Amino acid sequence: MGGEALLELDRVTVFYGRVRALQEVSLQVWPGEVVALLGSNGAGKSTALRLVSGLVAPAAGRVRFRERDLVGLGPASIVRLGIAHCPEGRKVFPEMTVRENLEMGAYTRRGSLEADLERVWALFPVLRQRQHQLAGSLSGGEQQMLAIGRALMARPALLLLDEPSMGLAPAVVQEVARAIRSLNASGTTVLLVEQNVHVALRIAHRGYVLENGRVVVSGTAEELSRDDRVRRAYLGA
Amino acid sequence: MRRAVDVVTILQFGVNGLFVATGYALVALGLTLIFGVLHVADFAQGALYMLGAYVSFYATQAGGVGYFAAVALAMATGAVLAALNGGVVYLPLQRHGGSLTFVAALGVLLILQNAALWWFGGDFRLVPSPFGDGKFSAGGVVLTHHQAFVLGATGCLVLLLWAGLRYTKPGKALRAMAQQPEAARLVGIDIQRVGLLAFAVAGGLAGGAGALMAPVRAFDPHIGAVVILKSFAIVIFGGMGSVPGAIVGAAVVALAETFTAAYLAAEFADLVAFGLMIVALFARPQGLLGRLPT
Repeated sequence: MGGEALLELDRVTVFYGRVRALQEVSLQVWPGEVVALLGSNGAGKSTALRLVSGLVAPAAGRVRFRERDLVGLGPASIVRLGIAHCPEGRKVFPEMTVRENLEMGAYTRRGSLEADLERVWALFPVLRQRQHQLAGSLSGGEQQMLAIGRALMARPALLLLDEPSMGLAPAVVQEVARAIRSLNASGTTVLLVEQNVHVALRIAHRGYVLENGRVVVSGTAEELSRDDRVRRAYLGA
Repeated sequence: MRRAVDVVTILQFGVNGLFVATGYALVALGLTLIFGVLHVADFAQGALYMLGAYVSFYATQAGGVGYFAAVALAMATGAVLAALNGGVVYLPLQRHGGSLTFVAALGVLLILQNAALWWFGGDFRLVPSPFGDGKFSAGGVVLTHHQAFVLGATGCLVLLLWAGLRYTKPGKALRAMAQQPEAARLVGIDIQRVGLLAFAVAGGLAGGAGALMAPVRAFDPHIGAVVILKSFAIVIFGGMGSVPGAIVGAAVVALAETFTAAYLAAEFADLVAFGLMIVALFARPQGLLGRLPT
């Protein structure tokens, strides 16, 4: 691909206490892509997203978004630059209404939110019906939709999605997958962490496989689904 | 001592109890707000209550300031000191774990209490009420004008707090922090600033409570410790971090202790607050209106 990467991690190392969560990880996300981070539990996938959104700082390496160094910026500044993080476990505000949750997603922005709300309603019609309900009363799938919608309210150029299919019924997983493709088609670049490799490789253009904090395989979704290591470890082939 | 058990007497104790509840409620609201947002048990809020009382005393007695302006001054003093204390002591300590802030809070309470002893002396003080001895009386039940004013002012402050938390952007940020701190950071809430706001609001309420109660309840520098222990018991009883819990808790504890003092013995009154706290801890660890962490 030509041009400049939207997001680039350059030999990044992250420690949690004395545990090395990421070790010299390099990856690129190009504008318009859906990129999947694959790997087992504890491989460092969520850490990579938390690094990009500013929740954790690297011990070494660089993180660049649109050529700009993100290291040292807090989450609030990073959201303003155009990166929204939909965290693992949804983490909706349980005692706020659906609508208030969405409004919180636009916390760093000023001006009318109507167009953004319409976009979320169009993507997840069930949220419009539930807009005055408390988020804590929603089903798991609806909470996931709300968490994605809340992230979209920041009008991100890059959406970080952590395990959107976790704990959801197959039909709901399909609906969420369809929504991710749709928001990608309308111009949002996506960096996706997913344990469900079948789902991830259907949505993503490219992927990286992490093991013990290192990138061990990378390639297009098609290459990865044909890769012997990926097939043995994750696709049960 | 036996008291009459007739309707008028019981109503009178009810009124007195509700009045006592206002002072507790204001301090407990601040405590529960700080705890909900930052998980800090800010015992120093008691010292801000005490300083609020002294601000109203010196402003009216030495400064020639009217009582109502003195209440506003006490609130401002409490808000500024609480935010300062939060920014200088608690927030920097918090990244080293919760138990440190707990010890620091006790330290700040004792430092302010002893500084007050040094500056203001140990005499008991009382601020003259701008309402004098005026009182309402209905069928034998008496409510002084000052009590009515404090009840009304407390009602207004609680309403203001509720509306602020519910409808304003900073208020929503406070709720978001309390409900889901990581998501609050991810949507771009500056947790330092919102934390300082929580301290300032709580300090304003505590300082205001001290000034509101100063014409009714004689105070010396130790009153902060008494008030904060009771408010803390109320917050645990009502549910840590719960705003309605703080109000209901304050009412229950104040009424229980007023009736205990009236019908059993004044010495048992304090026992009731802490007794209720212990019962709550056994029977309902999350408190009356609190929720267990999910």
